[in-house]
Amino acid sequence: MNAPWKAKQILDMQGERSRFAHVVKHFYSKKERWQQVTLHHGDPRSLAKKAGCINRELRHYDLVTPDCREHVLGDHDQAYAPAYREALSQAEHEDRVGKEEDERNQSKHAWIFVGDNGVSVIVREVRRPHGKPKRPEVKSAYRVWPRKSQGQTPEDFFKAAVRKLRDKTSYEGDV
Amino acid sequence: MNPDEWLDKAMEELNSLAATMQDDPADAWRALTLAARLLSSPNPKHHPSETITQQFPRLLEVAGPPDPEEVLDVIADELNSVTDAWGPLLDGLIDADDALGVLRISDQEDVARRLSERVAGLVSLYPERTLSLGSFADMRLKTVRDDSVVASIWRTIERAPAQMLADALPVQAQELAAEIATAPSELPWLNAAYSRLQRSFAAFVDAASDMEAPAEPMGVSLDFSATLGRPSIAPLELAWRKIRSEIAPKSMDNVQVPSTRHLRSVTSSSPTSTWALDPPLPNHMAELCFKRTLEVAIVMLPEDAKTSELR
Repeated sequence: MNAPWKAKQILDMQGERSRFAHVVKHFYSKKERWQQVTLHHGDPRSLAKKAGCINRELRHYDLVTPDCREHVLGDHDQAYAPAYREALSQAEHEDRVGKEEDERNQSKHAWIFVGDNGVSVIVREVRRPHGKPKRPEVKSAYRVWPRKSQGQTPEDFFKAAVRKLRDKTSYEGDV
Repeated sequence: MNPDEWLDKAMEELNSLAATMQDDPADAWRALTLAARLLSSPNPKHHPSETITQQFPRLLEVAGPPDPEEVLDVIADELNSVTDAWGPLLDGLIDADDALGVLRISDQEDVARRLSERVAGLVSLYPERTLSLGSFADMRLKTVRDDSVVASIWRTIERAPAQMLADALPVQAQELAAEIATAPSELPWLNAAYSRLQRSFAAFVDAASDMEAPAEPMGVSLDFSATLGRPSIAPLELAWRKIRSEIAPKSMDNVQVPSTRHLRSVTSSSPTSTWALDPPLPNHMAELCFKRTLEVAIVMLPEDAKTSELR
């Protein structure tokens, strides 16, 4: 299934709060193993701590120090965003894209892209105020993790992501 | 997504796993979950062959058991999050669905029922988080029997708009809402009015969540609602006329009528006025209150009135 836009037309995740929340929740998640995808050296969460981020405050954009905030947002720009952008391109190339389908509400759909790197990216068209045109924007990017009793290789992550894409959308491609 | 096509896709994938599922844990688990989905279909044509079902013991051994606590942890974490519901939250709910299926296949019906109750209970506390999953829930409910353990989870999600409404009702209306059973409505005119209300509500959610607003759950940040158009109340007036004609003559002696007072107070309000309560509700919420009140009224109808045909 082809998305209505090219990958390069899709905007990065917008807003510092959203970027901060997604980096902390997904990019720093041990389960999601982003070190398989990015060239990040060392555990991203440990590096964030060294930059001044304290564990219990990490969920709250407003509670962290400016140094921590800058570090987390830097991780978005330098590691997380390049990874999800790569996933968008890979998914477009392989036509590994599915759509949320709601017969009751045709104007509102999530598009889900799955990259070769096992990153799932959710894209939605966001309406802007005052009559400005809609634009597609990354709303989330994460890695589906395999069950504990299964393998944890990049191939296992990829397989898990494609299976979820098949479950949630009308995508019919093989794993 | 067409329910039959979803199940056909499951059957096709299950057949493709024949060569690897006996040795690979991920493929064994996937085969079990696909088989469980097919077995729970009310249509026997979807059920897997005996060739597949005979392999269940081996597949269970290779895949390893389900982990209900892990399933619950993930769902609880995602319900508390603000990330897109079609991401890890829906993934977690599908994992719960899968776990329930495998528990049933392995004859752990009691464990499955307890897990189902716990997941549905968790989900019911966060209707705003599952609002956008209604389409998937609708589809899934069409692929399972009504008494299936997975049905209660998706039914809870399907009712998220009504749940949000109940949570937002003023205290006196909440007492009425608390009496509502999950009695399905057999009245076609109510179903038609409800469909129109759902579309209006969906349009509101669509417009509201597309706006560049802070990522807060629906029902919490309504500051931008003033810029959106009000849905038409014409279908509500129709529904009210029907209720008034059916409830009033039949039930005045047998049932309480505080719900009809709610109906009257809403429909007698002009479109420009707000719900006459403190704090006042925006008009779209007032319409949702009407829907909930309709449900209360229907439950309170005498049994013979519940099968009335559209006139």
